[in-house]
Amino acid sequence: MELVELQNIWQEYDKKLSENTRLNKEILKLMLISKPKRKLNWIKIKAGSSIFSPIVFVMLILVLNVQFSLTTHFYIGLGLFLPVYLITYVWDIRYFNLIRNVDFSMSVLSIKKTIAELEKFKIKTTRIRYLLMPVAMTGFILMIIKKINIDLNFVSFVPLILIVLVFISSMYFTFKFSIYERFRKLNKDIDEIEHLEKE
Amino acid sequence: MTDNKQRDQFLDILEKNIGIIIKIARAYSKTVSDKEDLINDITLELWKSFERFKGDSKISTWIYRIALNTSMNYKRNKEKNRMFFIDDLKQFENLSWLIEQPVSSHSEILYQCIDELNQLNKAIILLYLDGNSHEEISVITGISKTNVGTRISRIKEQLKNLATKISE
Repeated sequence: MELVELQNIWQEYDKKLSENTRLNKEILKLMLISKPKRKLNWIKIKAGSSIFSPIVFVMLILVLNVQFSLTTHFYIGLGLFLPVYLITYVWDIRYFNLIRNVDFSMSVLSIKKTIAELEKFKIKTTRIRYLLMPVAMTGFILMIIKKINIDLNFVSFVPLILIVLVFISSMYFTFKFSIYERFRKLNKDIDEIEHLEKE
Repeated sequence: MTDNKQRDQFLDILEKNIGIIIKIARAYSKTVSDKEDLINDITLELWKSFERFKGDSKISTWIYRIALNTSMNYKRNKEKNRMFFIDDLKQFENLSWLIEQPVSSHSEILYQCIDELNQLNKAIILLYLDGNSHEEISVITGISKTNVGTRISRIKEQLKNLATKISE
Protein backbone atom coordinates (compact mmCIF):
# COMPACT_ATOMS: atom_id res chain seq x y z
CA MET A 1 0.00 0.00 0.00
CA GLU A 2 1.37 3.40 -0.98
CA LEU A 3 1.55 6.42 1.28
CA VAL A 4 -0.80 8.39 -0.96
CA GLU A 5 -3.42 5.72 -0.33
CA LEU A 6 -2.96 6.11 3.41
CA GLN A 7 -3.40 9.87 3.11
CA ASN A 8 -6.56 9.37 1.09
CA ILE A 9 -7.90 6.96 3.72
CA TRP A 10 -7.18 9.55 6.38
CA GLN A 11 -8.94 12.34 4.51
CA GLU A 12 -11.93 10.13 3.87
CA TYR A 13 -11.99 9.12 7.55
CA ASP A 14 -11.77 12.76 8.63
CA LYS A 15 -14.69 13.70 6.39
CA LYS A 16 -16.86 10.85 7.64
CA LEU A 17 -15.93 11.60 11.23
CA SER A 18 -17.27 15.14 11.01
CA GLU A 19 -20.42 13.93 9.27
CA ASN A 20 -21.12 11.18 11.81
CA THR A 21 -20.27 12.87 15.07
CA ARG A 22 -22.70 14.90 17.15
CA LEU A 23 -22.41 16.35 20.61
CA ASN A 24 -25.12 16.13 23.20
CA LYS A 25 -24.45 19.57 24.62
CA GLU A 26 -26.77 19.21 27.60
CA ILE A 27 -24.96 16.16 28.97
CA LEU A 28 -21.61 17.73 28.19
CA LYS A 29 -22.58 20.90 30.05
CA LEU A 30 -23.46 18.85 33.12
CA MET A 31 -20.14 17.07 32.92
CA LEU A 32 -18.21 20.32 32.60
CA ILE A 33 -19.91 21.73 35.66
CA SER A 34 -19.41 18.67 37.84
CA LYS A 35 -16.31 16.78 36.86
CA PRO A 36 -13.42 19.26 36.96
CA LYS A 37 -14.30 20.17 40.51
CA ARG A 38 -14.46 16.59 41.60
CA LYS A 39 -12.19 14.51 39.49
CA LEU A 40 -8.99 15.14 41.31
CA ASN A 41 -5.70 13.79 40.26
CA TRP A 42 -4.28 11.17 42.60
CA ILE A 43 -0.76 12.60 42.46
CA LYS A 44 -2.04 16.05 43.32
CA ILE A 45 -3.98 14.64 46.26
CA LYS A 46 -0.92 12.84 47.58
CA ALA A 47 1.31 15.89 47.12
CA GLY A 48 -1.32 18.18 48.60
CA SER A 49 -1.95 15.96 51.60
CA SER A 50 1.69 16.14 52.66
CA ILE A 51 1.27 19.91 53.04
CA PHE A 52 -1.10 19.19 55.91
CA SER A 53 1.36 16.80 57.55
CA PRO A 54 2.29 19.23 60.38
CA ILE A 55 -1.38 19.36 61.43
CA VAL A 56 -1.63 15.55 61.32
CA PHE A 57 1.61 15.32 63.26
CA VAL A 58 0.42 17.69 66.01
CA MET A 59 -2.94 15.88 66.18
CA LEU A 60 -1.19 12.54 66.61
CA ILE A 61 0.92 13.93 69.43
CA LEU A 62 -2.22 15.27 71.11
CA VAL A 63 -4.25 12.09 70.60
CA LEU A 64 -1.47 9.81 71.79
CA ASN A 65 -0.82 12.21 74.64
CA VAL A 66 2.93 12.24 74.07
CA GLN A 67 4.66 13.98 76.99
CA PHE A 68 7.77 16.03 76.45
CA SER A 69 10.12 16.95 79.27
CA LEU A 70 12.37 19.89 78.62
CA THR A 71 15.67 18.20 79.35
CA THR A 72 18.99 18.34 77.51
CA HIS A 73 18.22 15.28 75.39
CA PHE A 74 14.89 16.85 74.38
CA TYR A 75 16.75 19.82 72.91
CA ILE A 76 19.32 17.58 71.24
CA GLY A 77 16.44 15.56 69.78
CA LEU A 78 14.67 18.72 68.64
CA GLY A 79 17.92 19.91 67.02
CA LEU A 80 18.09 16.66 65.05
CA PHE A 81 14.41 16.29 64.22
CA LEU A 82 13.35 19.83 63.33
CA PRO A 83 15.82 20.61 60.51
CA VAL A 84 15.07 17.29 58.79
CA TYR A 85 11.35 17.84 59.14
CA LEU A 86 11.56 21.41 57.82
CA ILE A 87 13.72 20.44 54.84
CA THR A 88 11.38 17.64 53.79
CA TYR A 89 8.36 19.88 54.32
CA VAL A 90 9.83 22.57 52.04
CA TRP A 91 10.42 19.87 49.39
CA ASP A 92 6.82 18.74 49.71
CA ILE A 93 5.55 22.27 49.11
CA ARG A 94 7.92 22.72 46.18
CA TYR A 95 6.79 19.43 44.65
CA PHE A 96 3.13 20.35 45.05
CA ASN A 97 3.73 23.72 43.38
CA LEU A 98 5.59 22.09 40.52
CA ILE A 99 2.69 19.69 39.91
CA ARG A 100 0.17 22.51 40.13
CA ASN A 101 2.05 24.50 37.51
CA VAL A 102 2.06 21.77 34.88
CA ASP A 103 0.25 23.40 31.99
CA PHE A 104 -0.87 21.07 29.22
CA SER A 105 -1.14 23.92 26.74
CA MET A 106 2.67 24.05 26.55
CA SER A 107 4.45 22.32 23.68
CA VAL A 108 4.70 18.53 23.72
CA LEU A 109 8.46 18.48 24.34
CA SER A 110 8.25 21.06 27.16
CA ILE A 111 5.63 18.97 28.97
CA LYS A 112 7.61 15.76 28.48
CA LYS A 113 10.66 17.48 29.93
CA THR A 114 8.75 19.08 32.84
CA ILE A 115 7.21 15.75 33.83
CA ALA A 116 10.52 13.90 33.60
CA GLU A 117 12.18 16.59 35.73
CA LEU A 118 9.31 16.46 38.21
CA GLU A 119 9.75 12.74 38.61
CA LYS A 120 13.50 13.16 38.95
CA PHE A 121 12.98 15.75 41.69
CA LYS A 122 10.64 13.38 43.51
CA ILE A 123 13.06 10.48 43.32
CA LYS A 124 16.01 12.63 44.40
CA THR A 125 14.18 14.00 47.42
CA THR A 126 12.91 10.51 48.35
CA ARG A 127 16.48 9.25 48.31
CA ILE A 128 17.76 12.04 50.58
CA ARG A 129 14.67 11.64 52.77
CA TYR A 130 15.59 7.99 53.31
CA LEU A 131 19.10 8.96 54.33
CA LEU A 132 17.86 11.63 56.74
CA MET A 133 15.14 9.46 58.25
CA PRO A 134 17.37 7.77 60.91
CA VAL A 135 18.46 11.24 62.09
CA ALA A 136 14.85 12.39 62.43
CA MET A 137 13.82 9.14 64.13
CA THR A 138 16.67 9.36 66.62
CA GLY A 139 15.77 12.99 67.25
CA PHE A 140 12.14 12.16 67.89
CA ILE A 141 12.98 9.29 70.22
CA LEU A 142 15.31 11.58 72.16
CA MET A 143 12.50 14.12 72.43
CA ILE A 144 9.96 11.72 73.89
CA ILE A 145 12.03 9.58 76.24
CA LYS A 146 12.11 10.78 79.81
CA LYS A 147 15.41 9.32 80.88
CA ILE A 148 18.12 7.54 78.94
CA ASN A 149 18.50 4.13 80.50
CA ILE A 150 20.96 1.89 78.75
CA ASP A 151 19.91 -1.60 79.64
CA LEU A 152 22.16 -4.10 78.00
CA ASN A 153 19.79 -7.03 77.82
CA PHE A 154 18.62 -8.80 74.65
CA VAL A 155 14.86 -8.07 75.03
CA SER A 156 15.30 -4.32 75.12
CA PHE A 157 17.38 -4.44 71.95
CA VAL A 158 14.98 -6.60 69.88
CA PRO A 159 12.58 -3.80 68.81
CA LEU A 160 15.50 -1.55 67.95
CA ILE A 161 17.21 -4.28 65.92
CA LEU A 162 13.96 -4.99 64.08
CA ILE A 163 13.42 -1.32 63.22
CA VAL A 164 17.00 -1.00 61.94
CA LEU A 165 16.72 -4.22 59.90
CA VAL A 166 13.43 -3.23 58.26
CA PHE A 167 14.82 0.21 57.51
CA ILE A 168 18.06 -1.07 56.01
CA SER A 169 16.33 -3.69 53.85
CA SER A 170 13.76 -1.18 52.62
CA MET A 171 16.56 1.26 51.78
CA TYR A 172 18.56 -1.46 50.03
CA PHE A 173 15.68 -2.55 47.80
CA THR A 174 14.63 1.01 47.02
CA PHE A 175 18.12 2.13 46.02
CA LYS A 176 19.31 -1.02 44.39
CA PHE A 177 16.31 -1.98 42.29
CA SER A 178 13.92 0.88 41.72
CA ILE A 179 15.53 4.29 42.11
CA TYR A 180 18.74 3.70 40.20
CA GLU A 181 16.94 2.28 37.19
CA ARG A 182 14.31 5.02 37.15
CA PHE A 183 16.98 7.70 37.46
CA ARG A 184 18.92 6.24 34.57
CA LYS A 185 15.82 6.11 32.39
CA LEU A 186 14.73 9.64 33.30
CA ASN A 187 18.16 11.12 32.63
CA LYS A 188 18.16 9.37 29.27
CA ASP A 189 14.69 10.79 28.47
CA ILE A 190 15.71 14.32 29.46
CA ASP A 191 18.91 14.06 27.37
CA GLU A 192 16.90 12.88 24.38
CA ILE A 193 14.40 15.73 24.75
CA GLU A 194 17.21 18.31 25.04
CA HIS A 195 18.87 16.80 22.02
CA LEU A 196 15.60 17.05 20.05
CA GLU A 197 15.15 20.68 21.12
CA LYS A 198 18.66 21.58 19.95
CA GLU A 199 18.55 19.71 16.62
CA MET B 1 -17.43 36.87 30.56
CA THR B 2 -20.28 35.06 32.35
CA ASP B 3 -19.99 31.36 33.10
CA ASN B 4 -22.79 30.47 30.70
CA LYS B 5 -21.39 32.50 27.86
CA GLN B 6 -17.96 31.03 28.40
CA ARG B 7 -19.39 27.51 28.44
CA ASP B 8 -21.35 28.09 25.22
CA GLN B 9 -18.29 29.50 23.54
CA PHE B 10 -16.28 26.48 24.64
CA LEU B 11 -18.95 24.06 23.38
CA ASP B 12 -18.95 25.75 19.98
CA ILE B 13 -15.18 25.42 19.72
CA LEU B 14 -15.38 21.81 20.85
CA GLU B 15 -18.09 20.98 18.32
CA LYS B 16 -16.01 22.39 15.48
CA ASN B 17 -12.86 20.57 16.55
CA ILE B 18 -14.16 17.32 18.00
CA GLY B 19 -12.60 15.41 15.10
CA ILE B 20 -9.10 16.34 16.30
CA ILE B 21 -9.83 14.97 19.76
CA ILE B 22 -11.36 11.73 18.49
CA LYS B 23 -8.49 11.06 16.10
CA ILE B 24 -5.81 11.68 18.72
CA ALA B 25 -7.64 9.69 21.42
CA ARG B 26 -8.04 6.78 19.01
CA ALA B 27 -4.33 6.81 18.16
CA TYR B 28 -3.23 6.79 21.79
CA SER B 29 -5.62 4.18 23.18
CA LYS B 30 -5.94 0.44 22.81
CA THR B 31 -9.58 -0.20 23.69
CA VAL B 32 -12.91 1.53 23.08
CA SER B 33 -13.37 2.29 26.77
CA ASP B 34 -9.85 3.77 26.96
CA LYS B 35 -10.67 5.92 23.96
CA GLU B 36 -13.88 7.20 25.57
CA ASP B 37 -12.07 7.85 28.80
CA LEU B 38 -9.31 9.71 27.00
CA ILE B 39 -11.81 11.84 25.05
CA ASN B 40 -13.37 12.82 28.39
CA ASP B 41 -9.97 13.61 29.89
CA ILE B 42 -8.94 15.75 26.91
CA THR B 43 -12.26 17.62 27.00
CA LEU B 44 -11.88 18.31 30.71
CA GLU B 45 -8.27 19.46 30.29
CA LEU B 46 -9.39 21.78 27.48
CA TRP B 47 -12.17 23.16 29.65
CA LYS B 48 -9.83 23.67 32.60
CA SER B 49 -7.35 25.65 30.52
CA PHE B 50 -9.96 27.48 28.43
CA GLU B 51 -10.02 30.36 30.90
CA ARG B 52 -6.27 30.82 30.50
CA PHE B 53 -6.43 30.70 26.71
CA LYS B 54 -5.83 34.25 25.54
CA GLY B 55 -5.88 33.59 21.83
CA ASP B 56 -2.13 34.08 21.41
CA SER B 57 -2.01 30.94 19.29
CA LYS B 58 -4.46 29.36 16.85
CA ILE B 59 -7.36 27.49 18.50
CA SER B 60 -6.35 24.33 16.70
CA THR B 61 -2.75 24.65 17.99
CA TRP B 62 -4.06 24.96 21.56
CA ILE B 63 -6.34 21.93 21.09
CA TYR B 64 -3.60 19.80 19.52
CA ARG B 65 -1.19 20.63 22.35
CA ILE B 66 -3.61 19.76 25.12
CA ALA B 67 -4.95 16.66 23.36
CA LEU B 68 -1.46 15.33 22.66
CA ASN B 69 -0.09 16.12 26.12
CA THR B 70 -3.10 14.55 27.83
CA SER B 71 -2.88 11.47 25.62
CA MET B 72 0.84 11.01 26.13
CA ASN B 73 0.42 11.22 29.89
CA TYR B 74 -2.70 9.10 29.99
CA LYS B 75 -2.42 6.11 32.27
CA ARG B 76 -4.64 3.12 31.88
CA ASN B 77 -6.61 1.85 34.86
CA LYS B 78 -7.92 5.25 35.81
CA GLU B 79 -9.65 3.86 38.86
CA LYS B 80 -6.66 4.95 40.90
CA ASN B 81 -7.33 8.54 39.92
CA ARG B 82 -10.95 8.40 40.89
CA MET B 83 -10.72 8.19 44.58
CA PHE B 84 -13.26 10.78 45.67
CA PHE B 85 -16.88 11.47 44.88
CA ILE B 86 -17.38 8.31 42.86
CA ASP B 87 -21.10 8.38 43.62
CA ASP B 88 -21.41 11.83 42.13
CA LEU B 89 -19.76 10.69 38.95
CA LYS B 90 -21.93 7.63 38.51
CA GLN B 91 -24.78 9.68 37.12
CA PHE B 92 -22.67 10.48 34.04
CA GLU B 93 -21.19 7.05 33.51
CA ASN B 94 -24.10 5.75 31.47
CA LEU B 95 -24.71 8.95 29.59
CA SER B 96 -22.61 9.71 26.59
CA TRP B 97 -22.26 13.26 25.32
CA LEU B 98 -20.55 12.07 22.17
CA ILE B 99 -22.73 10.45 19.53
CA GLU B 100 -20.38 8.74 17.14
CA GLN B 101 -21.40 6.50 14.24
CA PRO B 102 -18.87 3.87 13.17
CA VAL B 103 -16.83 4.95 10.16
CA SER B 104 -14.74 3.26 7.46
CA SER B 105 -12.87 0.12 8.45
CA HIS B 106 -10.03 1.27 6.18
CA SER B 107 -8.95 3.74 8.83
CA GLU B 108 -8.18 0.76 11.09
CA ILE B 109 -5.28 -0.23 8.83
CA LEU B 110 -3.87 3.25 9.13
CA TYR B 111 -4.26 3.23 12.90
CA GLN B 112 -2.52 -0.16 13.07
CA CYS B 113 0.46 1.38 11.30
CA ILE B 114 0.43 4.52 13.46
CA ASP B 115 0.26 2.35 16.58
CA GLU B 116 3.69 0.93 15.75
CA LEU B 117 5.32 4.37 16.01
CA ASN B 118 6.72 5.89 19.20
CA GLN B 119 4.72 8.56 21.07
CA LEU B 120 6.40 11.56 19.49
CA ASN B 121 6.43 10.21 15.93
CA LYS B 122 2.78 9.30 16.37
CA ALA B 123 2.04 12.94 17.26
CA ILE B 124 4.03 14.23 14.28
CA ILE B 125 2.33 11.97 11.74
CA LEU B 126 -1.15 12.72 13.12
CA LEU B 127 -0.44 16.43 12.75
CA TYR B 128 0.96 15.88 9.27
CA LEU B 129 -1.99 13.79 8.09
CA ASP B 130 -4.33 16.48 9.40
CA GLY B 131 -2.70 18.90 6.99
CA ASN B 132 -0.61 20.96 9.42
CA SER B 133 2.46 22.69 7.99
CA HIS B 134 5.97 21.91 9.26
CA GLU B 135 5.92 25.28 11.03
CA GLU B 136 2.67 24.43 12.86
CA ILE B 137 3.96 20.96 13.79
CA SER B 138 7.09 22.61 15.16
CA VAL B 139 5.03 25.05 17.30
CA ILE B 140 2.83 22.27 18.67
CA THR B 141 5.56 19.75 19.44
CA GLY B 142 8.46 22.07 20.30
CA ILE B 143 10.76 20.39 17.77
CA SER B 144 12.63 22.58 15.27
CA LYS B 145 11.20 22.94 11.75
CA THR B 146 14.16 21.18 10.14
CA ASN B 147 13.86 18.29 12.56
CA VAL B 148 10.14 18.00 11.78
CA GLY B 149 10.97 17.67 8.07
CA THR B 150 13.60 15.00 8.69
CA ARG B 151 11.32 13.05 11.00
CA ILE B 152 8.37 13.18 8.61
CA SER B 153 10.47 11.68 5.81
CA ARG B 154 11.59 8.87 8.12
CA ILE B 155 8.08 8.22 9.44
CA LYS B 156 6.67 8.17 5.90
CA GLU B 157 9.16 5.47 4.97
CA GLN B 158 8.35 3.55 8.15
CA LEU B 159 4.59 3.84 7.50
CA LYS B 160 4.97 2.73 3.93
CA ASN B 161 6.79 -0.42 5.02
CA LEU B 162 4.29 -1.10 7.77
CA ALA B 163 1.31 -0.62 5.46
CA THR B 164 2.81 -2.99 2.90
CA LYS B 165 3.44 -5.58 5.62
CA ILE B 166 -0.10 -5.28 7.01
CA SER B 167 -1.88 -5.37 3.64
CA GLU B 168 0.12 -8.46 2.51
